[in-house]
Amino acid sequence: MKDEEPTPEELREAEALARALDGAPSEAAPPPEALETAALLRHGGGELDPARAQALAAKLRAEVRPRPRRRWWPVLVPLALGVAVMVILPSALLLRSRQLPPSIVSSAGLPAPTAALLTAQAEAARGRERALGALDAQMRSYRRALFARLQERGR
Amino acid sequence: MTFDDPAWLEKERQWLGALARGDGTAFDQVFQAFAGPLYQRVLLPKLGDPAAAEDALAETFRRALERLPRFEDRGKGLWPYLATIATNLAHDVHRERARRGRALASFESLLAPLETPGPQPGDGPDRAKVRAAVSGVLSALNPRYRQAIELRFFAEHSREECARMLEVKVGTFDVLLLRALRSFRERWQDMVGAPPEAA
Repeated sequence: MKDEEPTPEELREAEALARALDGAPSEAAPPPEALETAALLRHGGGELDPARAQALAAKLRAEVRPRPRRRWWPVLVPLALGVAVMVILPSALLLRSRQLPPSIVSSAGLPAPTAALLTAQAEAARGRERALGALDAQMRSYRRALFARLQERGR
Repeated sequence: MTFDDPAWLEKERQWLGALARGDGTAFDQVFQAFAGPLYQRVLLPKLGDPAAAEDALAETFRRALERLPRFEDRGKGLWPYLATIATNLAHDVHRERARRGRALASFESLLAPLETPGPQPGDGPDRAKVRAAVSGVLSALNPRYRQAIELRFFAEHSREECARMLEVKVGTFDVLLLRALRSFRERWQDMVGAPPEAA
């Protein structure tokens, strides 16, 4: 067979293809259909090399980790206890102060905290932002009563 | 047994349960079942490059494992899930390579006429079919073109060695190989089938 003389275009394409097949960069783009056909001839029906597959599996296996079970109790129990203390303690104090005879309260010499103050404290302890304003107002009121009582005692 | 066989799907469900508990053996079984078909049927034809296909295969499994807690088995099993991840990754690789001026050549469209529905666990039977088709087309080629292809792609000689064996200049061999590839493609389309876009 006698080869026909290549055209300049064909020469450019042939060179670009040769460079692409060798993995070398080329100024001209290689003809895509020839590259695809070359890839088919080189790798068509190719299989994953067993040794490479094994190495790949071992590497990936190391990345398989059991998902930690979500355990809520270490978080929930202390949280529940904290909330219980914040709610129950002021309530108990409130109840106690209500149950005490007025004479005992007055004998302490200091004003008892009002129910509104204790409630505001409890709300603030629960982390409710809006409760802070109410607590502040109640505390001011309590301090005023306290200072007034102290002044009375000082006279 | 195909990947959509009920008995196979049941086996997959057991693996998934074990995988969720971090069982490495279950991972081995999933990998053994799907790595070959993913590589051979999806990644290598799409990327046309074994190294790129291997990298994409590893990344496919990595992503699949990461997303496994969100995997919803809609009765179709793992194959469509893994094949979709692999296909998307192959597109990403093409885009990235093209941006770097190192475009990869997919031969997926040339293989399309040989594709059989329903891949199977383990390596599929396509290898023999592809080799038979290549061999058939080669035997129908001009002997000089066939020799150029065999020397360059099967014996894996350098272009200089090929030129010396064929007693031509390197530039002449390059042209010969280009013509041989074009001739092969034409014969392939005649004998095996045209790629979908050319059909």
